Amino acid sequence: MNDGERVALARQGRPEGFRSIWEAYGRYIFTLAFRMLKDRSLAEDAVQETFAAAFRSIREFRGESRLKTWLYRIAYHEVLRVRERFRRGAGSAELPDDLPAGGTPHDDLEARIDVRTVLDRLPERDRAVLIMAYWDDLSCTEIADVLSTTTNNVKILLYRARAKFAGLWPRQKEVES
Amino acid sequence: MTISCAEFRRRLDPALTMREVGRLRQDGAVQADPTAPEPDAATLGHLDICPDCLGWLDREIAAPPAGLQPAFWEALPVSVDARMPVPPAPGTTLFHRLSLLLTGVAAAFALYLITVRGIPQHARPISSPVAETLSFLLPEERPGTPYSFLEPEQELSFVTSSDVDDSQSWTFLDQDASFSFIEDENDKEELWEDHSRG
Repeated sequence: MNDGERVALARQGRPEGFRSIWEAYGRYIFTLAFRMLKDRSLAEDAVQETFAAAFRSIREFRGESRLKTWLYRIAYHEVLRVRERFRRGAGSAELPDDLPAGGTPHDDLEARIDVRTVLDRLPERDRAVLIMAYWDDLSCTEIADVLSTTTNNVKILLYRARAKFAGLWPRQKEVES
Repeated sequence: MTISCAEFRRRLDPALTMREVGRLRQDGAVQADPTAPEPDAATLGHLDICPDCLGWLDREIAAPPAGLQPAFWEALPVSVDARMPVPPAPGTTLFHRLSLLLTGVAAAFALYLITVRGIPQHARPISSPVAETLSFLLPEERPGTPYSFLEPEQELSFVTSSDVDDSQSWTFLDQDASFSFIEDENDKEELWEDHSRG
């Protein structure tokens, strides 16, 4: 089922349309939310609210952008909203440091911690840009659409985010060794 | 303000970016502000006019940095425990039911007004104005009917008028029925003289 069919079904209120959108993009949105919020339960809240908002306004999706980009735009703002709500509630600027759950092999866990540690030291927008560009395969134009900025601005942001990550990565490995 | 290609690449120099990296290492904390510093207008503007630097930048960002290879991405959590939000189907919520009920009642009432009671007068559309002839003639004075005048003997004799200096006085009393205590003008003068003498 392609995005057009998914959206058409969802617009008719058909549950299989919503389920298909969820199955296709749920984990991408969760990864973005989790990497930005660094907390599984907060990320899941953001994911749920993202899809709830998307399903409510599915009729407003005109197909001018990809469905994935449209969902990311909603998710990015939901993540910022969840984070602000958490900070107001907790009275702290620091988000919890939550290890991702799941029974994975030890090697994966190490790699996961490495990437996570480096990513978490980057500014939020750098993290979001790196995830969207290299994990979600969004084009710079699509990322610009999500972040409400220009394509060239995204290219420069991405260049600098790459440089920051590369600069922190060997250092992280030295600390561990 | 325009900048040269050399200046553009100097501004993107990783050494400058590394100063921020050094600060990140030192602080060991993530910036609280979600908005990283924006590239300045001159740097952005150069990309608009220089295809060489744009191509160079595209090549630079094409691949992920070391350490952020796809193999590591696979280690990121991909399972979502969040429950998929299912939007309610129309008619399932109380709000939808009330809306449907109100719509039905309104439609039935409108149908009742139209079919049983007819369209009320004030609700009818205003038609174009129609000129009507107003007549101030009595029915017997229709055009063509000869006018009738009062005969001389039928004149109302009790309506009389008299000129006094510049004014005119009217009386509606029958002169025959009127009476006066003054016989003539001489009597009036005598009466006046009596009063003036005291």
